Amino acid sequence: MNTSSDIAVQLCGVSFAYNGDGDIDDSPLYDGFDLEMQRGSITAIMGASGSGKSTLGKLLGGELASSSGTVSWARELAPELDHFYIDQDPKKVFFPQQTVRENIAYPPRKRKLNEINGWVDKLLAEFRLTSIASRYPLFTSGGQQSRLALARVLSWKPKCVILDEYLSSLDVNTRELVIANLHRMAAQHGTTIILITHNLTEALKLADRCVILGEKPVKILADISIELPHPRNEQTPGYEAAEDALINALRHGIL
Amino acid sequence: MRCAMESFRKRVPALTIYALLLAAWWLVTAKAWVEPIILPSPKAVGSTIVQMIYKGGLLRDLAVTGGRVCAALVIAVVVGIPIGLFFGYQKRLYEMVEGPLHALRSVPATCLFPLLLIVIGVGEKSIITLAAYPCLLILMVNSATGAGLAEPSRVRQGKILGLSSFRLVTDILFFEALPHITSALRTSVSYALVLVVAVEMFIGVGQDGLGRKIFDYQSGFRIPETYSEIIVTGSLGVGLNLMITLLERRLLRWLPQTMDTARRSG
Repeated sequence: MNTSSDIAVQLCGVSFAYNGDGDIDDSPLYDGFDLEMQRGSITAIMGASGSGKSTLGKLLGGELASSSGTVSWARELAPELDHFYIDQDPKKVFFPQQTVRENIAYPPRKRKLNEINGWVDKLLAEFRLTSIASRYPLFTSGGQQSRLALARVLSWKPKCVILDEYLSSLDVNTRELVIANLHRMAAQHGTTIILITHNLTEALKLADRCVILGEKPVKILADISIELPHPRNEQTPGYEAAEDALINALRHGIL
Repeated sequence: MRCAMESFRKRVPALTIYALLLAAWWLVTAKAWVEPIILPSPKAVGSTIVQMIYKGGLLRDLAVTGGRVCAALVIAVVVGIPIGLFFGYQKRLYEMVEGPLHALRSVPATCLFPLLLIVIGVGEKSIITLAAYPCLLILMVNSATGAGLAEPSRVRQGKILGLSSFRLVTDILFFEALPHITSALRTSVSYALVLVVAVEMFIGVGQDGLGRKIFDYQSGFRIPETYSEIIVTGSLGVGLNLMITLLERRLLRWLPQTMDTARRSG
């Protein structure tokens, strides 16, 4: 049975407002917002700064609670482990007192030890962390810390990850590597990926759908599907056309 | 080899200062600018220390005082840190007791000694209790503060991963609090040493310990012996601090700025 057409998460009439803080405009940021995402899909959420992208990510990840409406996850994705939110600060994710390797081995510790070791070695290799496996994370570079954070989250095989500007903190080479890894996760394990980003290239290289948010209360300004083969680069046929479509939609959103 | 040279070179300024102080001491006594009854010569003090090690029970005094300080610290660590971490985990509860705890911490521990004598009686127990008391509060408050400042995302992740309350405390909160705990430990060592020596000196519980001996020798105008005891007491302080520095380096080896903080406060 093809389950990829199932819905991973459904937002229904979601409302949310930040409380005052001297903000003159205290109208709600979200007021009756609807959105659905398919299981196994890679969705990019885009929009100008302040368009409520991160708020949406936190609502999805359970870091914020909506004041009304529902965020309903499919049953398999319902545990909080299975829709985990990461922002651009990797330090919040790993435990600094554990080595890189221990950090990746910590979450799945309930499984058999030999099973864990193989899985940890694989993740270390995929995220090019093998050479620094025995170092403490705070002694590694920012890019290595970011890769560790994602590898740690993927160690427990979440069914969905929500990445909030996560890729933006990576240097170009690392970003390509992580994009390839994320695509592999989606293709092989059916991992649902929600990518919150202001970066066009990230959306074009990874996502198969791009939702552009704007205005207040937030609504969907454009919902564009990106149907390009993987791995993608600037020479991929149709890349430029997709890029133009996105740029047009974003420009419309800003004006 | 180069590394040894390098570390030696770093120590040159410190060693120079020690040498200058010693030279000044020697000069002052050699020129008889100060009477020997106030300041005996380095040579006299040095030979007294050696004599006292063999005949005067200097090492025994050191062991007695050092033992009391260590006992007080162990009690403070074993009781204070777990309670503090628990308070860091139960923030509501901590908010309720925080005011009284800080008030208690502000009461000079020495004030409580007469009370302790009534409650516990004269002896080792009251000395150790007195020294442990402020250390326990310092460690408790710092553990609670440090644990309370834990990164919320990390705690949330722990909960999502299904960690028990105990594991949340031992695997997350303890390490978040650890930098605060080690600096509290450093303060505690000084407190414990000061209190043990002061109590030995003035309240006269037990006839031994460095504090008691400093007082006794001074009363008998045995000045080189007095200086010897003072120097050994000072060395005990230096030694304890060095131990804390090494412990801190070991416990916080995952935290990059450890070396700098250790050097600054050590």
